[in-house]
Amino acid sequence: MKKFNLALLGLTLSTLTQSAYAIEKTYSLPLSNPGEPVSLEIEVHTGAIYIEGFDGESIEVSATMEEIESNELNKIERIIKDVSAELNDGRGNNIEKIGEIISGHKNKHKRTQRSTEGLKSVKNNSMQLEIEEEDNEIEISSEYSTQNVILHIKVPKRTRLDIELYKGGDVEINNISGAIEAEAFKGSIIASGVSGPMVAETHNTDIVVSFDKLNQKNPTSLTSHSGNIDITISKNTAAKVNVQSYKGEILSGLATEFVVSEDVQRKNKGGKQKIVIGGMMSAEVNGGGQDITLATYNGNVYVRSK
Amino acid sequence: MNHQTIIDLKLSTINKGVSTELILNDEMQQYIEANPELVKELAFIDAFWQQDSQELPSNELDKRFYKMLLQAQTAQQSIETKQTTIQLQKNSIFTTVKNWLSASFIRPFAQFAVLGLVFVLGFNANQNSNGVSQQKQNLAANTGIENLQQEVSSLSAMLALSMLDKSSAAERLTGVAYSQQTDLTDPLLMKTLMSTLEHDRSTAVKLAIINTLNHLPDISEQESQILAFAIKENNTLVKIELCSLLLNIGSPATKNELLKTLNESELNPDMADFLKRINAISHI
Repeated sequence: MKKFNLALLGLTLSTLTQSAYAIEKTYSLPLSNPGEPVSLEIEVHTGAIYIEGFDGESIEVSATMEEIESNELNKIERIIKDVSAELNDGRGNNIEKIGEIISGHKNKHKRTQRSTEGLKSVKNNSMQLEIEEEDNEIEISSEYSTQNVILHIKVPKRTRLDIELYKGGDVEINNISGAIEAEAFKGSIIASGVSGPMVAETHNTDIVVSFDKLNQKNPTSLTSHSGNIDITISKNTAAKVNVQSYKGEILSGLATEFVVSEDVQRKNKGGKQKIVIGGMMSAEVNGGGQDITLATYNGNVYVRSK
Repeated sequence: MNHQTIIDLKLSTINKGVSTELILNDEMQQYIEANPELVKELAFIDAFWQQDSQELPSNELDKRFYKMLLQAQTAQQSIETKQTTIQLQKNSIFTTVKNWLSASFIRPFAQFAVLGLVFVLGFNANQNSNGVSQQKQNLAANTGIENLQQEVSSLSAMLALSMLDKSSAAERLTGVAYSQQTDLTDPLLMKTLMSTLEHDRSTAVKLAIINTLNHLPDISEQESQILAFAIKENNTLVKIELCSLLLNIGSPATKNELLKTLNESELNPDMADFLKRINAISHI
């Protein structure tokens, strides 16, 4: 029944969501200081981000931007909020109630039609994407909630990334040897051919990372509130993998066994009241090395070896 | 190949001033990956070097560093002086006895008797002297080691403070890792950790700090602050870990206050589930 409700919601939303038009642009920014460290900071409100490391000394950006009508967007947000509350309250099986919420919104937010006599429609071209570069530090931002921005970016492999995506699709990263920080509130974070350190966080979606090798200078930490975390490390990588999953399963393909980490053991010895919820498990791979910490509340943790 | 080869290569790379990143062949990479203690050593060199190259220490940190250096030097000098004094005293006694025995007026029998007496007395005296000097040496050495341990802890605290101030979450995580290498008695470090715990935007950093606090034998000084954080925290993962920390090593009064507040609060489903489990356990 819940699936049906969600399907109904999806259908309604799809009829409400209409993009007016799309703009596609490409940009090429040569680095100010070729061969020097590079950093890229991206902050996008709604959209998707795809980043690929390459051997060049420039930043290649391909951006597709499409407008989301703000009135419709607000309407969708309100409906999602109310329906989510209904589902979270455990009364989500009530199809009539969901229907009432959606039709209620339609009536509640119906606006009086204004006269358009003598007026012609002007296309809104004010969509904005800012790209700045100074001394190899690049900033790309699109903070408008009314536009959907899809970015395909090529950067030198050594680039240090700092990415924030609030809504929309996924963040995908390939072949980056620099440090990565990524936060996606609605979409997944998927990375391959990376060496960390990586600090990534999602809320309801998955984090999937395949490490080529592991940076031993700084720790890596992947956190998801309700999503799964899936990592793959190479067989000869030295690492200490720490896993904290409160409700999910831990599935490991490592040759090394996971054991309860030291601090939890200490607590068991001294404490009269034993409370172990979300205790940390650790595996020292190839004798141990830099920390990879994986924490999720509802999701499963998958640790693979290649 | 050994540890020193890699460290020399690292220092040489740093000295060239181009980059701190090592260019390694496969054999070296495998060797490093197989030796976690070497990895830590390289990380320390990196962190220490970057600290120097990226920003100058504040006047306060500068003063503390030189104060610590002076203390370490004083401790070392004190050990050396004591050892030299003991050595001089020993030399003086042996020289006197040697001169006396070499005097020609003592007959062989008397020499033998005196030698026997000297041997017995010397043996006893040496036993006592060895005991006393050993104790002194041990005391001096222990004091020296303690001082040096304190200096190392203080240096780790300085590194931790520096790293916690960085904009990169990975570097702040390294800062938290450095703080775990200290005894966490530095008030400035503890204050910074608590402030980071309250304000940091990275869940990973917050969780790492809570894990560090978990290593403290006593959190009585931080309890009220942690309780306030636990109550106002919106991030479920962090809130649960803060609550677990208080429930594990907090005082009974704080635990009761936390449970009372949670039971009276409107909680999201995950927190409600956590509280349900806690309530179930606390009734056992």
